[in-house]
Amino acid sequence: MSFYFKTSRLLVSRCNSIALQVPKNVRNIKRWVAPTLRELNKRSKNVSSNEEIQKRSTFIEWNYNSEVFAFGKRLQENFNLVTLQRAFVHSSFITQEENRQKQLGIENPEIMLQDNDSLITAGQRLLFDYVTAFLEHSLPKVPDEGIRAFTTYLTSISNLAVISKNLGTFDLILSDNIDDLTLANTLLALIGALHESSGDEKTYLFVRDFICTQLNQKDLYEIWEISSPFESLRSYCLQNKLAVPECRIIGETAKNTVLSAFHVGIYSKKILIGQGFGEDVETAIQTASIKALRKFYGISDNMRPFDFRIKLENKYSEKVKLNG
Amino acid sequence: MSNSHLFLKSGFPRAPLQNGVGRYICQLQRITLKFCKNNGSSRGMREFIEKQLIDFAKENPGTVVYVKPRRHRTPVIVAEYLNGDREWHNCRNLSKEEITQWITLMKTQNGSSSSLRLRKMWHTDMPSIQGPWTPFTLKNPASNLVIFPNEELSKPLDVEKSATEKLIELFREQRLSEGKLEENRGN
Amino acid sequence: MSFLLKNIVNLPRSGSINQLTSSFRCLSLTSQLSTRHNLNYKPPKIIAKPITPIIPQRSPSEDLKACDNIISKVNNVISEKEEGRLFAVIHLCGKQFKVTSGDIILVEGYWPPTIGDEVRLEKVLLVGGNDFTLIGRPIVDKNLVNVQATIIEKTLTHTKTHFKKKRRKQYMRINFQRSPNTMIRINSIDISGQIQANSLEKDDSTKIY
Repeated sequence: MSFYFKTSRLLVSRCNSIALQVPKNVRNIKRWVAPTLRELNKRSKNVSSNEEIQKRSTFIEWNYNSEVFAFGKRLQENFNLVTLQRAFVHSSFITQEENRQKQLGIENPEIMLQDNDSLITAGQRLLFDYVTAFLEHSLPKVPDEGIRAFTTYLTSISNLAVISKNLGTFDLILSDNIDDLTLANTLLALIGALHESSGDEKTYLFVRDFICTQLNQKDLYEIWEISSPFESLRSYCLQNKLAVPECRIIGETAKNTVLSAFHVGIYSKKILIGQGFGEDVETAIQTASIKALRKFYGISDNMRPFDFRIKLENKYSEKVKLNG
Repeated sequence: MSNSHLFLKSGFPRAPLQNGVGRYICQLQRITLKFCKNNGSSRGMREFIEKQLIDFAKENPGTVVYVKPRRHRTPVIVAEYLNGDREWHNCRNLSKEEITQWITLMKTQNGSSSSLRLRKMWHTDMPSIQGPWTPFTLKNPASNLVIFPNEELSKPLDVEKSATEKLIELFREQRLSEGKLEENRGN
Repeated sequence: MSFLLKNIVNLPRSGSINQLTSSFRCLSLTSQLSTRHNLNYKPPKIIAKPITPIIPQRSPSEDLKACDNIISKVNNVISEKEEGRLFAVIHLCGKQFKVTSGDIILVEGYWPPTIGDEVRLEKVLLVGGNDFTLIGRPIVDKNLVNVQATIIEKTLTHTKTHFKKKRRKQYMRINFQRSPNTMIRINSIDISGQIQANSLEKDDSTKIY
């Protein structure tokens, strides 16, 4: 036993090569030892390796043009290749290149590249517009505050960075360093580039398919938390000319114990509008009013799922119908 | 026996980036075919490159195909996926058809599948649509007004008949049937 | 041990046993124990009173009326698009899955559809919403429910080892195998059209289930 203990301790201290000595009292080495040592070795190597991860673009088998072409085709979009290539070039890369050329002694460095700043700003505006339009269409009863919260979540840097990385932009970005912000900006630039090459409808579909779908099966309450629910419910009832909400205990169990549970219903003019549970009456009232509000806003747990197949044309025609 | 499963990771089915909810995206980013130009073990690979590679590249414009000849080495396929996975497969002495099969597999999967044991065949974030059951579900509201201890509600739900009661019942039935018989006789 | 036994024997006296159902009582040891150890113990008096199940007796015409009423209510919910999130139990490749839109399911074994294919799953055993459930006999009408799905991955499982050994017979076999797996994304579940009471009595002898 002490032998195995010793080897494992050796391993923990990042020893890569272990000389196996068969101790006197042990007849054989157990069969799990070799694979375990191998795995531990591998892991310790991974942890201790100080080598920088080689960029994919430094490999021999790398062709930037075909990579960019395939990127567009993979997303099933017809990008203008020049614009698409521009979407990957960040201004930091251009300044870096200029500095390098200056250091080499070239006085007027010429870099035949355009950066993607204009595309980013265009993409940001488009993304915000389309996401808001999608949400307003899908969640017509939610107040502006809620729509804003959902839009902020969808267009947040961390969310965009994850999407961008999973679309395969990481290897193609030309920038001095690649962090979440760069990844998110590249996605924005892509949206701008797509709008330049294919127009409104295609750009909207891109935003719908890659950004809006992040809401699939998400608990919307986690994204938008309603502060002081009972007061909000009361003001909602006032605004919509409903009777003032009243709370009633409709069930309780294990009162005066650690495991107490209260079931509270909220009534407006004797109509049950929401019910909730809590370990005390106050919590139960809060959960019940959250339930009631979510029902009014159309974002309850079993709300109608988002329609991710909806097109821009349909929406415009519907708007025209409503206005006409 | 084999010890290959000792450190096999297990997990649950997931798809990258809600794939398929919007449009479907093939997850194979690039594929590299490495082979030798004159070694026999690369024969199938060379045949594949001569006869099918162009078609494959045309059918899958979203995948970058690299071909890398190298001397006296085993032929190899390396697939790289959008999630960063890299799958390496040895193609020594494989025929053209076998290589086609492996390449199709690499095209249709989301990452390296051999490294994960699935624990479930289903994934959802919405496990209940009609709501989970609680002791308060479908409870009669009238029961809120009951004062406990309540004699009526404290009784067991199912009480079997005792032997005495069964006997009494039998006796009554007998009496009834006898009565009927007598009536019949009287008639 | 004897202390425990005493406790168990004392249990029936406390009266809590009264609330147990008789079937439960048959299973419990306490009654046997109590008779054996406590001769003075008298079983609690139970007054036999058969509880009649509360099922309102209705005539067939009333039944039909109630049925129509429920169906029209469900139809109303569907036509106003207030059914909310739907779920369905689907039968696929010999297995049943409870799915809702956005779910992922996996089919094991060989299955021809390939990645990117959009399929319609027709064997729907049950569809449900927040307030109603439609149960198929054995499947829900094909024209009523539409379950759309996309194939998102076709792959092989991890390597499974099949090892056989017979002792003292010099017999050992080892096999490695990987079977195909298909990952499917459920896109949407829709109820299209109205539910009809008599649709269940249609002649479906020509259908292949």
